[in-house]
Amino acid sequence: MIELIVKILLISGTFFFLGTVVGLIRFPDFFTRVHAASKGDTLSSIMLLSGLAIYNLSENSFDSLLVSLKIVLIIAFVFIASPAAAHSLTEAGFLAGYRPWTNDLVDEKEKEEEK
Amino acid sequence: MFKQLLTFILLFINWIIFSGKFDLFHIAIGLIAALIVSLLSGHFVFDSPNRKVKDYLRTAIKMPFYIVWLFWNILKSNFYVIYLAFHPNMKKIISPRLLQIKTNDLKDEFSRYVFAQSVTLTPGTVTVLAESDVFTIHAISDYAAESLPNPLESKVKNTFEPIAINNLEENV
Repeated sequence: MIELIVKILLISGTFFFLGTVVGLIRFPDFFTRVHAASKGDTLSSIMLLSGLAIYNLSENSFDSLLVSLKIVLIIAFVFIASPAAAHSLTEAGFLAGYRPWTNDLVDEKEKEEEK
Repeated sequence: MFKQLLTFILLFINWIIFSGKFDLFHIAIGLIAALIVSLLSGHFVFDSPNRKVKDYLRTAIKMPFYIVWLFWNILKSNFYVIYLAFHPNMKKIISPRLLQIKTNDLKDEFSRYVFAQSVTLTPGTVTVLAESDVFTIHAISDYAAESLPNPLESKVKNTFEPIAINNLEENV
């Protein structure tokens, strides 16, 4: 039973990381890429780490409980650090003069192609 | 002195979890280290002048509900980003833009910080600039832009905003 939960958590965590990477490549500009990087990161690392913590608990000793607690602390750290990193990235990009991509550009390109 | 004691307890719990050894030597080192650190820098941890003990208690009670709600939003935002990432016509359905949101109710620095962090975690929005009470937010689509700022602001206010700060304003 525990193994099944751990497998589900690990597989879905990896799937979310895959989605993050696909988004990172496919999104059109700097800001939207930060969206993909910051959001996919949080949930997938939470899933992977909690899967590890639960798997570690199956040994049923006090030491493994301590290790799982440490993993939970890492999850809390990711929770705080990931949005802060995303914010400082976008702030740096904004102050450096990047402006968001808009999909008017796509419409104009298509109109030109139609002509 | 209360602040230092609380800092000391938190530090010592952390020490126990991270060291994982329970002989006299390691416990003694942990006690000494936690004592020195809490005496030197205990006043940094709970230093907001507007917060009373009552406010900390209220935050501690309401925090679990807020975390559950936030976790639900993180789930939604992840599914949303992945839906966009795999969508074949992604460039047509997104419409990124910058929004400026003025918060009226958040006066405390810490609740503003929580607000900015939570905006980054909710679906499709990232905080770009935070200048006192005006937040510049990058939203990835119409759906994301419509979801702001409520009910996030009132949630943050209920959970983290100290009560005394609003009373002060009314007196002035």
